[in-house]
Amino acid sequence: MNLFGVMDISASGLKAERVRAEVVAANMANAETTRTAEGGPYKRQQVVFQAMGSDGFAASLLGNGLGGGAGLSSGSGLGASGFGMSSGTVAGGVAVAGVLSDQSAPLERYDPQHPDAGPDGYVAYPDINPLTEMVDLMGATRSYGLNATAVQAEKGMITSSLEILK
Amino acid sequence: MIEQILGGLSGAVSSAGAQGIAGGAGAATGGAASPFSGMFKSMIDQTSALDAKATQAVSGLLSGQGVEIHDAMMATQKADMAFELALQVRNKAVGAYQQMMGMQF
Amino acid sequence: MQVATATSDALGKYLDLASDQMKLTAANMANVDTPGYKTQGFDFAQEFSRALNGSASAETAPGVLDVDGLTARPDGNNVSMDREGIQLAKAQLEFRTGVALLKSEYSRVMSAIHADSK
Repeated sequence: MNLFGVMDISASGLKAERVRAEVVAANMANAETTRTAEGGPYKRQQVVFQAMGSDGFAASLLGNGLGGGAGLSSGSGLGASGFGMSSGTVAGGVAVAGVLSDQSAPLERYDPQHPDAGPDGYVAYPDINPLTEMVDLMGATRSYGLNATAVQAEKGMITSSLEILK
Repeated sequence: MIEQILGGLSGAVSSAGAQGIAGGAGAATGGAASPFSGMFKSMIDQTSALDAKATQAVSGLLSGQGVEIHDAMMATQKADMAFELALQVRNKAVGAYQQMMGMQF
Repeated sequence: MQVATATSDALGKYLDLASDQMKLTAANMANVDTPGYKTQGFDFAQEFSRALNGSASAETAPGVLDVDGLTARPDGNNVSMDREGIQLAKAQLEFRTGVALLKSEYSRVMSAIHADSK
């Protein structure tokens, strides 16, 4: 894996954080949704991240067998390297393992006049705390910015390596 | 190291068939007519070897096989320098030859 | 004949290590929110001296270990954004330094080659 491949790693981070921000936005938008297609109130969604290529991570990341000082390549690269975004895994990157629904009990509020009220007069609302979601969104934003900075740094390194031939 | 070779080169040309050319010229090929031609041949061989390495590194970089960018750059630069060196040696040798041929007796 | 000096070979290894540092930092940054992820790193100075002392054909990857001394958050992740930011800046500047020194080394050799041209 060379520096072009490292941009794939940062890109996977950007993608994952963006998914996280989208999920948070969906949660906030549906904080008062009492009716969904599956019946019942909206269930809070949560992303689960997973590090990719953890086994032999160091080996695949640092590309042993692909040559060092002499720059000779003896075989094909491991996993995705080089140009283009791979649709598969990028060793060392992060993937969204899944978006899980929160299975905890919904919030019950007493409102017999509500069209979705149950026989006991309680309406089931999703248990979404806007403060929690805001903090999650701020964390996603900060991580996104961190990975974007990493992409800038990688671009700078590739550009400065072009100076060798000038 | 390059100054050594150039110095040895001019010494060799001015006294034809001079022995003991300085510099890391490498072994003269067996049966070389003179130390200079052996040295020059090894220079050419090393230049083409470096050029092959550079081509391999660059094609590895372009095909996305994970060759480091700076490795490909360095290999290219080394091949360029070796070629330039061989070229300058050849120019000097040809110039010295012509100078000698132009001498009146 | 050799056009590569000892300095340019050492600088080549330095650039390799700087870009390895960058790869690990990018991976740590991408996994800043992954539960249970441990920060990966390697000892730059030790790896560099190992690369210098080793033979030219020894091209092993640097030993990557979990970094010590970082506190883990409740979800098991111990990546520190500040440390990774510093590592990013360091790796970038180390790389640029290596490239600048390498350039001057090569231009020195080239001017020696072209010493007598008019």
